[in-house]
Amino acid sequence: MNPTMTPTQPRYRAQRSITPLLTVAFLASGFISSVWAAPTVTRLTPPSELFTSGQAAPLIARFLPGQRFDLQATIAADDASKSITAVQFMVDQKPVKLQVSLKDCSSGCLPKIAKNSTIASARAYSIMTPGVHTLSVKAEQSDGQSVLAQGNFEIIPLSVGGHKVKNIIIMLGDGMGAAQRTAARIVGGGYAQGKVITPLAMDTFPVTGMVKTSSLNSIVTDSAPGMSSYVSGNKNNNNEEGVFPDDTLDAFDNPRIEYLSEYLHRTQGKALGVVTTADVFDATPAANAVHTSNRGAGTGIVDQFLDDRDLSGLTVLMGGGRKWFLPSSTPGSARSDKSDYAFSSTDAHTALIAKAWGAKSGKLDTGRDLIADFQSAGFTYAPTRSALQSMDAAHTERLLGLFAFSNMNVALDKIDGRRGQASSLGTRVVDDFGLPDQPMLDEMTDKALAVLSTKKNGFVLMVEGASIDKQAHNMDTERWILDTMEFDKAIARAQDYAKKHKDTLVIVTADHECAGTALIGASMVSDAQLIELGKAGGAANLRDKVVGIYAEAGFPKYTLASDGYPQATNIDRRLLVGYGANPDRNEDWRTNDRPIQDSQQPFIKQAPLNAYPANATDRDVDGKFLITGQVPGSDAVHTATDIPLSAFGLGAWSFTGVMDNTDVFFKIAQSAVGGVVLPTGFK
Amino acid sequence: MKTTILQNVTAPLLAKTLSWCLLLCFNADNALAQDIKSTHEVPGIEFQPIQATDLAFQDLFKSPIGPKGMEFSAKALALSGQRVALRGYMVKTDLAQKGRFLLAPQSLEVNEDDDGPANDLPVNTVLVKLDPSQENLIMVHQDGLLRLEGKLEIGRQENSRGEVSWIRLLSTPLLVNVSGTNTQAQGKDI
Repeated sequence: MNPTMTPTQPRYRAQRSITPLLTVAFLASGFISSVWAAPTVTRLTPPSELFTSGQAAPLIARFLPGQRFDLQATIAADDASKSITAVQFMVDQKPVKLQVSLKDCSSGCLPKIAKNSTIASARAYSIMTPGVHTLSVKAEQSDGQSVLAQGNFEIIPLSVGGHKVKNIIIMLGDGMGAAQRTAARIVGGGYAQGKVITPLAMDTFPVTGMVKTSSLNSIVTDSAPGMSSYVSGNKNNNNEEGVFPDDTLDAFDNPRIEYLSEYLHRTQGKALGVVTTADVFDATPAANAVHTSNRGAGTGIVDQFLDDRDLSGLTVLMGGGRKWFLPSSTPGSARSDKSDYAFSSTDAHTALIAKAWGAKSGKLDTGRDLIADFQSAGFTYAPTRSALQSMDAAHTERLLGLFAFSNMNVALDKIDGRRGQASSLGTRVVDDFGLPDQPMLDEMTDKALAVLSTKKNGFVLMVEGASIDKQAHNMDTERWILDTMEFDKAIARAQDYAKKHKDTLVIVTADHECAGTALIGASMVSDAQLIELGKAGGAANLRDKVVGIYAEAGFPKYTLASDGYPQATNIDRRLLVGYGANPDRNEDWRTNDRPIQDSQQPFIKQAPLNAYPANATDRDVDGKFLITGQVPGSDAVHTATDIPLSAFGLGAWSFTGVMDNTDVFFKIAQSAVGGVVLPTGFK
Repeated sequence: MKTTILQNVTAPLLAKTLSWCLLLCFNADNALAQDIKSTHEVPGIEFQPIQATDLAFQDLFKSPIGPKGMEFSAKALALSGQRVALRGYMVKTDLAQKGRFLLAPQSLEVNEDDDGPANDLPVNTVLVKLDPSQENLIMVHQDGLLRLEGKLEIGRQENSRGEVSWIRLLSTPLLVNVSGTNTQAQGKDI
């Protein structure tokens, strides 16, 4: 056996999927395989259980009729002296009539891949016929031997229904599980004798289901496959968006899956809007229009947003992330070649992506002024809330809003900024960032809708409440609660739009839960008492005398200011939140406005240097209430827990029951392409 | 405000009794080789006081930031290459790096594993590079406001991972835990 051959498992897998045709191939070429080397198919894309385990179910890859996706296979020759000379893909035993590129793995492939492997790709394949299809790949080796492996995929039929949904609005609360929703309701809506006084907008949606959030390679997803599942219909690996996994190092050459935006732009001319409070290159926004296996490849991601706008229909892009848009000569630019991409014009492996998909080839161009390029492409640029507000949306063809250098400031800090509320250091957080004029998410949503509503063929709009997740990672309770409230105000704007435009579907969902968040009760003491108990410290004070459970929790009462956010979060008898997916943390229950202890402790005192106590890693030392966590590191983590999804408007009724995240895509597409039909059991 | 600091303290000085100075953790490869202690406890060394100019984060750029990139302030440009003192917060991160850390105008935590380069860092965040004598040390996270001194360096610099910094503080040698037993050096060399 070739010493560079990969471990036996992939070989085993390929042989498990041997079909009668493969058997014939072996017989025809001489003999049985176990003692006789032969080329091996180590990966067949789209992924399938048939290829992986030999089982025909569950169907892993599913597509819409006509939805485009790439076919790919990795084949290892059985000896370093041999190579793969020809590869043919077949669907239902019929040859696929697409050009096939062959990339040899002597360079550019993952270390675990044998150097004599070949990666064969056929790009932008599609088929209209519904049902389960077999995908076969036959590869020939230079010595005449061949191998054949088989997988499968499914084309989901669309029923001919009633009215078609024209506008689709996906409100994506990143990390927003049931606890995050409930916390926003308690703080923002208030309770009286067990009933909500003012419900969240999302609580008024008529249909709610529960979503299973696993990714292709883990029960616990991150945001990239989380979003991608909703808008591609397929599971992606963690860190990857709009692509299936492959065996190369290139982050932009993976097998692509056509996004909802691309499919509906190509077939119906719909426009795409992407709005987020995060950096626009972040996983959730990018997983609506950008295809990459590296969610961190910022330069290439933002470039592809613009360069492939003819594929996605990108019309509105708003959030943070200006650092990726500035030429490298400008202070603040984060553009780098390492996070960019450029397809070859001669190597068919990547050249075919441009050719078959009609995608741009990209370029390593740290000096690119991407804001100027967006403007040249007809985008109006808004760097501040004021600029956004003063824009005449009815006469704005396309809109780019970049309100921060990376993620925007969170709702709590933006609201403090608007209220002129300084931190303990005497400055406003938004001033520390040099960006005092940032919009709230509902304001961004309003403008996005105003621009998109001028598009005659309708639109797909994704609005992300990004820092619900980011602040839950930090276990910064009040910051994610206020961000959930901010997100709900944006939901209200989308709901208002759908009330006026009856051909609009709004779904509110999350990509995953974050932090194992649990509302454990409420403080039994006033804020003044809480401060004193924090000084006394320890579980005997901060836990036993503070945490009110069951009836002791009662109903925390927050008072909202005229801006719709709590006048204060450090209230008496406050809501208390625990975390089940947490690292070690100290807790004093008070809003984490600034460093809590020893904020004036100098690092290096002026000479003569004086000794001072070691407190290198502990924070909230005075509280002496350490909560030991179950996860390593310093961040709370995503969980595999199902999340709630609510729907409003035309087509809403199909979003009920317990569904896979990829099911959501087919429900949306049914409503937009086939027309609205009631789900099984409703007729 | 002017302040006096001390230089030439990089000699490998022994201070085994100094358990109070738990400020840096060791990279395992460099235990004890980097011992540095407070200068006034070092007998027989002459110190040359030099001047450091206080520089606030808000003074680094024109603020608010304009519609595109940032513009360095005249003060920052004038102090480039000079000895300055900055007060800020060490950014908390899972991926501590040898010989460097980030200093921000407010207390922040960056979840590299979760967010990658999408972060909540102010654009005026400063990359602090430790003195060459400490380039293999990994900084343990410090809470609270820190005051650091060093040479201000302004201009684009890209590391091997493609990460770009625009403002750096080439720090004077920092105090080091001399016990070598700090077990909290979990950071990876990236």
